[in-house]
Amino acid sequence: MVSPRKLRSKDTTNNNSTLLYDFDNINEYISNDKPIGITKKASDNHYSWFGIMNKPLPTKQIDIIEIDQILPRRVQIDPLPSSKYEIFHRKMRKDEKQMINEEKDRNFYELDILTSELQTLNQYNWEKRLCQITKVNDPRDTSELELKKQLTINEIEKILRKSENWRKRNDLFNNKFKNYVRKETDESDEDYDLPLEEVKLKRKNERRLKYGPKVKLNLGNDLCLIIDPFGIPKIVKGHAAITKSKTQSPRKIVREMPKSKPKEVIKKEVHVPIESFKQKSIKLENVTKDMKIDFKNSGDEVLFGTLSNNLPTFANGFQLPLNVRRAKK
Amino acid sequence: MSLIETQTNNEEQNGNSNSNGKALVSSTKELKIKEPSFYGVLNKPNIEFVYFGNYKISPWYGNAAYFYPQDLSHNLLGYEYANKVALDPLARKRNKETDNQEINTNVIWLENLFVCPFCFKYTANQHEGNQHQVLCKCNKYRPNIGKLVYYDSTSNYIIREIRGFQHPLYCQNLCLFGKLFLDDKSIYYNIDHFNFYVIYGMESDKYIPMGFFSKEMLSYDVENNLACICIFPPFQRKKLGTLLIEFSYELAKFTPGQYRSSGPEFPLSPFGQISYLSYWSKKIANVIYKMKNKKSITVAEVMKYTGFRKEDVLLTLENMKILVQEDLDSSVLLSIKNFENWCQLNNLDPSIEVKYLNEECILI
Ligand SMILES: [Zn+2]
Repeated sequence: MVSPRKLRSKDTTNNNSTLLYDFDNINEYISNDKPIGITKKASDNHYSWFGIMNKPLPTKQIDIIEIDQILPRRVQIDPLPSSKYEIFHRKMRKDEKQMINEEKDRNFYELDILTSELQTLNQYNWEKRLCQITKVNDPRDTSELELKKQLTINEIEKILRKSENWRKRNDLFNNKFKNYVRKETDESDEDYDLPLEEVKLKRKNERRLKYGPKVKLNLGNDLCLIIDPFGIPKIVKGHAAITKSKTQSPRKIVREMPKSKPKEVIKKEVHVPIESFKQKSIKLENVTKDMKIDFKNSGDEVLFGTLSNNLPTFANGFQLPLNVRRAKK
Repeated sequence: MSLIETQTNNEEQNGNSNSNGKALVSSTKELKIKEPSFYGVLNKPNIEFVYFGNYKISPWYGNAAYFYPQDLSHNLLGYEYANKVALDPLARKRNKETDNQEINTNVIWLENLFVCPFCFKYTANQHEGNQHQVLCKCNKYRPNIGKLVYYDSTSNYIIREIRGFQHPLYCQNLCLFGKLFLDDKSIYYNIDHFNFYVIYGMESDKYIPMGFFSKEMLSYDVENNLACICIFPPFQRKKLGTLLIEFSYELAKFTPGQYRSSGPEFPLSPFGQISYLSYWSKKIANVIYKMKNKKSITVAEVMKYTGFRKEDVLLTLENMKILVQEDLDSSVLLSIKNFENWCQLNNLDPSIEVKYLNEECILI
């Protein structure tokens, strides 16, 4: 795990060493997708943001001698059984773990600080604190203050979300890890002898078991929602007929929406972005009839009206939101 | 390159982030500065020669993690010392009491280390090493550890996915060996959360490991598709590093959270940076070629076509010296003339997409 607190700006023009954020000096091409015009003219005025790295390479003499290994013909006992390394590797693992845990503790502490910064920013004297952690050019300019406050809050919330996401993945992984039974095989791998296409198919099935299938949800009106564990959830037209595909999952994962009256959620304005909606995360369960959702994802983590991280698909199928399931009954 | 510690300053350099902090940007700039002194890291190689199959190699970097931390004499490899102490618990105490532990101040702790070219088990005893190789369970025509994820039987390359928690000893020994050629690796034993992708090539009628990369399955930054990469010195200059880099992006396509964009963990070692910039440039050149008749492009578009993080895209464009700016306040332009010059200089036909992997053989 990594330090959740950001590196302090090394900007020499600012001497405030506690500053965490500087929103004035962002790269428009990275953060705001500013277009880069194309010109036919040559120029030697090279743009430099990162600074060209011409660090000298460490000199490494490639000192390799080929030798003729003479291996014994007959050996009865392996002088290097795995057990030989056990005590030492266990000790080293423990030492290393301690080091990692210390780092983790530091990070948790920093997350605590961020949480309290967030609280402070939501209290009445937030201006003072804001100026201490974020670069503000004119503390009397209320519009700048408001903007920087929002940017800072977004930034902190993002870090907290990220750490929450990490924690969740950690739990999932550790469960899997705990339940793993080690088995060693001496046999040759049969995959070598299978046709490549067959191995590919096998991998596809393994993947489906591991991450869950690609879920297609018929939304009516010839619209179909596709939730792919490896892609952005999207709505496509004309795919509704495929939803009953046999290869979907071991169990039936596609539960069609009532055909007579498709949910109003989608309607035709699927591509109309509603800014206010994108700002906050809204769970699928809470979507109401008259909401318009921007399905055309534009790069942030709020997808399909919910946090993309909260959209896992499982091997045993996709569950419709509770209220929809109830309504069906 | 290291597995866990390096990101002290780049945790938020996500390509897809909408965040607007300078910290984000400045941290990306600082990715290039390395944090020194991690455990296991020494100023100079402490092992004089390492024997790996048919090769005798001078290590590039030191590795203290092969040794027992409290044994300052460094006379024995860590496991030998640990086993000795386990058999005779008083030995360590005796050493402490009489304070007669010899402190080895030599740069070289061990003259020869013998590493099994199949499973990476190590010993200071050549005879033992040779005997082990004969009986080694990994000594096979084609490796069977882990899962087959790439099999090119024409060029004779195999990549296998080996999960840390399933094969801990193999992965630990792989990390320890890799450290001899990497300067900033710092996790060798707690490898449960890492997958290792080992590339095997044909030599003397057998597939042997030639290099690897590791991927943290629980990376704090979901976009990290590679933690460290190492091609063992005897097998360098075969473009295996680039092949593995390309493979890491293929793998990202099937990793939740990495379908949009991903990249290596920072900071990159100087060698890593050269390899990546060269790879990114060639791939991006093809994208620019396809878009050169447009009025403008965005970094995000290049990201979409390549799967590279936005920062990596901008870094590459900058490095290719094809982005130009009249003065500091004017907008940045992409010069097609500069681009053509770059292609000529690098002997690259941008109309052809360079491929290092045989797509047919990817079995992810
Ligand atoms: Zn072996």
